[in-house]
Amino acid sequence: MPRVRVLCAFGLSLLSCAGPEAPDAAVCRDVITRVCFGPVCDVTTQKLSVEAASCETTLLMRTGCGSDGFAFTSPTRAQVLDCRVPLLRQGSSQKVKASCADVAEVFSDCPELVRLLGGTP
Amino acid sequence: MRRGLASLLALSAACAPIEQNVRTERGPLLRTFTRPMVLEGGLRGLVQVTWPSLEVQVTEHDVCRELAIEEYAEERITEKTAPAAGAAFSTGVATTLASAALFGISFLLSAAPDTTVIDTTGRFGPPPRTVMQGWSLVSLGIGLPALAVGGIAFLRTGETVEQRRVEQELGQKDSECHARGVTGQVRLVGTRGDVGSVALVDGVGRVEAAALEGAFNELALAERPISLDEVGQRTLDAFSACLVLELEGARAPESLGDGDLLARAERMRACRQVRGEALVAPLRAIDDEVFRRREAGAPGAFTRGPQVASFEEAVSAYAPRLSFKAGSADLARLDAPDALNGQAVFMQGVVSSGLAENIGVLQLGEREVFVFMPPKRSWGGDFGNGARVEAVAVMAGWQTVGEKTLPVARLVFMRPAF
Repeated sequence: MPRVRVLCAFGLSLLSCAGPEAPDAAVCRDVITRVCFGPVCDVTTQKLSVEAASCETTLLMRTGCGSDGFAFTSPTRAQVLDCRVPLLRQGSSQKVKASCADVAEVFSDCPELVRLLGGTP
Repeated sequence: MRRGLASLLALSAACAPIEQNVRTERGPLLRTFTRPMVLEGGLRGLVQVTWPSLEVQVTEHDVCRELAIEEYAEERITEKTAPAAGAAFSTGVATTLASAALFGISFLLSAAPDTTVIDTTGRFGPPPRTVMQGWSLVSLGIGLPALAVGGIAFLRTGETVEQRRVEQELGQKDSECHARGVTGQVRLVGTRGDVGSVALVDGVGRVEAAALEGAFNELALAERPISLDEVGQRTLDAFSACLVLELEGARAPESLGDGDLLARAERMRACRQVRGEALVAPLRAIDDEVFRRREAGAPGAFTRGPQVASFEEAVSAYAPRLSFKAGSADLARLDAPDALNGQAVFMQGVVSSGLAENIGVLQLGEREVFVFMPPKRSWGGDFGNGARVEAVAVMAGWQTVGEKTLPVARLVFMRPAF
């Protein structure tokens, strides 16, 4: 029992750095927000065939992420999270724009994600 | 778990160094007493001469020592302080209270996760309440060890008083005790080794001069020296002088060189202390021969010393310790000039008569002294009767000239004075 208490205290300290698991819809919207963060990169408009002004709305409609019941099938949630890593290099907050090079890296490394967003790999 | 807690406490204790200061306070005097001790003593000897026999008595003794001791009460006070305890404790209190405050405030904050952030593992950012509680935990992690450090340090500080009795030696008194006769062979030790031995029975033994090979000046039992008092040592030296005279045999004074003549005169004076009247006539013959040679100006008829060219040099080279002049207390020493043989003296007086070319008489207050002047003097001028002079001289025993027998001294340097 004492060991459990120690582990609980340790776990509590770790949990203080992260919240609950985000649903697939939230993850998907996060990717779209970062990809369409203005000024929208040229690689985004070219690869995903979207207008810069309506990038986020268009992609939400294409993917269906606007619905809270959205769930990843192909690519899987794990693949999306893996592909999303370059977009967080500038910071995990959604108020920070990812660099265009990072966006281009995501599109080149993750064709499944490009297809999910309605683009051409 | 217990080991971990013990380790934490040990670490905490190590973080709180304790300074220890010990002071001693002397209390009242409790008593004064003496403590007897018996220490290893030595051998003491008595010698007696009935020429040609030497009787030796040897006793062994212990040294009985009485130590005078004062006994005092004494307090040994040990003060333990921890200079860091206060700071650690106050830090612990402050951070623990801060932790409690943060924990309390956390319930005023939202428990909803931060949906504006999703990390690489797909999790939202932590709720503000959890973040605050995390800081509360960090604060508690600092505060509790600090409290432990401060608390342990406070527990270890304090003052302990140890009362005890101490002794201080005031002094000691030694005396010879438990004297007892010893048995064994007493060695008679000369400058070149043993010259004979005396068999002791119940501490007493006797030896004849004929059985000894030469002079000796020490007694020893095995390797332990036997101490003699001043009289005993003089008696031993006198017996040794007689031994050497016996070994030399009868010799006409005229046949001796100046050095041998003076040495034989010295030995005869020493030997006379134990043989008495038997040596009066031979000693007089020797003294007469010495006087004759001195009168004739033989330089070797005196014990020679450094040559000097001035009065100051004479004082420096001979360093006279006795002062013979009117009113001087040292004049009483002239009653036994034999004891002054070879000693340098300062003299101040009046030339009363010149008996011969190399000998005169100095009046020193109420005393008179023969003075011999070396044939090659370092000083100039003549000092006739009535001349006031001061001189550095070396004493040379008694001298009889005609009806007068006076102490005699060899002049080193003389000059006019007062």
